[in-house]
Amino acid sequence: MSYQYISRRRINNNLEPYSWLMPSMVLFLIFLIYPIVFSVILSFFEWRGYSIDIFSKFIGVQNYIRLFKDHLYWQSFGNTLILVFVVVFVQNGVAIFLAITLYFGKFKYSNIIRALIFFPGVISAIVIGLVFRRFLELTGPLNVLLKSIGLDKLAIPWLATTSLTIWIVSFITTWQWVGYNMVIFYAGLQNIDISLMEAAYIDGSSITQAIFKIVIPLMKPYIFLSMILNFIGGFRVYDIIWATTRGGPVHSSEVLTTYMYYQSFQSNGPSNMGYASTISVTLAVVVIIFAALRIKFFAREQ
Amino acid sequence: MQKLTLNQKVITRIVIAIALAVVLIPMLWIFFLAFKRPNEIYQSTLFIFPKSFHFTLQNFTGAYSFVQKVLKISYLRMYLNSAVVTAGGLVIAMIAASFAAFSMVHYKFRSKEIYYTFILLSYMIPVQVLLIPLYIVLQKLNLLNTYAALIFPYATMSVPIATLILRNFFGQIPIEFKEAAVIDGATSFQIYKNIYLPLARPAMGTCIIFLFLEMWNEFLFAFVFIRVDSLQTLPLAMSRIGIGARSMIPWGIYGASIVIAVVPVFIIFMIFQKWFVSGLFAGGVKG
Repeated sequence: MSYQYISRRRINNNLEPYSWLMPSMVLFLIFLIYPIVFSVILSFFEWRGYSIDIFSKFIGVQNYIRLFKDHLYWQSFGNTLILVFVVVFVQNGVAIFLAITLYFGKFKYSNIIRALIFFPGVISAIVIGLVFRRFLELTGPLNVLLKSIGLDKLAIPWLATTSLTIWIVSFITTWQWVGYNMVIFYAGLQNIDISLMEAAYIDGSSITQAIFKIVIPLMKPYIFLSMILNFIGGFRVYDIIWATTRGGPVHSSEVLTTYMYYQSFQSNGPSNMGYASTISVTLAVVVIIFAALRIKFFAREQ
Repeated sequence: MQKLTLNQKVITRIVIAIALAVVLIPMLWIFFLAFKRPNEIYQSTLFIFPKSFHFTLQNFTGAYSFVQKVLKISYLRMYLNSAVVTAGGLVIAMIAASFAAFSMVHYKFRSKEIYYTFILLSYMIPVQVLLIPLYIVLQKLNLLNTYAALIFPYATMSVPIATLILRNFFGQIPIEFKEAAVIDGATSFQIYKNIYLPLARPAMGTCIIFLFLEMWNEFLFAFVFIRVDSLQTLPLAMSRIGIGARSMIPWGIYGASIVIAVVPVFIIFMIFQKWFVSGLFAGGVKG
């Protein structure tokens, strides 16, 4: 980009660009940068929410040492990875499959179909959670359906089965957001050069071969982008877990965000703000590492 | 493009039919639950569609008084609260972001790259990381339990993505427009107001829809920063339905309260459908 003319005229006026940045800088300073710094500092202190003096008890890296011994932390970490795995791979896999089916299937009402599959993404995750809470109950419609087709054994209390809960909340997340990725992929397909497909047919490829040989490789940037978006989104998931399981039963569906909440604000929880800050710092570090990779990728693209 | 064989045609139809069923069944189930009579609900949980068409609206009046009694807030007030924090957050975020995007496109300055990297990074930080320190900041500023406790954090969280979308769009505005304005002696504020903003209207719309969704549906900040009944936002109040003793709430009323909560966003989705899709797309691709 070169707006040489304008730039040359303005370049001497050094403060002007910064004055346009002022509103956002003020917001960032008060509500983003200061809080992050505060959080990092707080992670070296022991502070219970109910005592008034925040920085009275410096305990060094003890909170970080504690992390390593805290099996609930590692369980939450593992669960976060499961959730991230599902949204990055399963959700994107389904989304690209649906986008290709919809695009090459030449559906008459493809825009309506897209809107319907996309719709759960505009509803609050809290409400989606409420729906599935009842839908998956022991006497809920899913189990009635399973029983009616003779699968009585599968009719279990889904959200109360500790070995399954994290997978179930992951799949509810996928259910809600798969349309979002599908729309990205569909837009990608619309940008593909059709003549390449036709060349493949002349070679005698079937449509399935053409999809794997030509379409998928051309979709790479969209796939990569979608994976990174879901990766970052996966680490943020909170609402849907809160609305369905509260991280339970017995912490079986706890992820880093809900565990952080449990350690800090939960009304009957430990109220350990310092330790909760430590958890959130580790969460931020993991995400920032991947964010840095992403920025690097975009720099290469340009 | 090649014609589909019959097999391919059948398979694609089946795949999409299954996808639609999976997406629609839970939603339709809740929707029809809201219109069923209490005595019908238990016999017919399997059937998404009611066996008979004896629709009733009693669940809706039930939901209304349930919310009034147990959550101590009216639906109208919930909508109002959500609307106020969303509108407030949107206005501040759009002003701050469009200024920042203008600065990044219109000027050359040394720390531009740093600012850009900072924005990319802050876009990706999970908001939960800010929960505890923001609580303390808001406490110090005496803003807890006010609309401002949500408006400012919402605006701040939204500025990075909005800046990225707008910067992208501002960058595409043909240079001739700007040169002409500079020659005419326009001030930079005039250029911002009379050239950038009007030309960027579609991008602004996209941006507003995208941010609207995030703010309207936000839960965690509201949950922690708002502890008075009268200021509950929609997601906050909804989260308190069906918990503990309240889980004894009849299914019909449960369904009706969910339907009432979804109606506004459904209407907005229908009206601005295309923008929603492009909004999320822009948010994704350019973020």
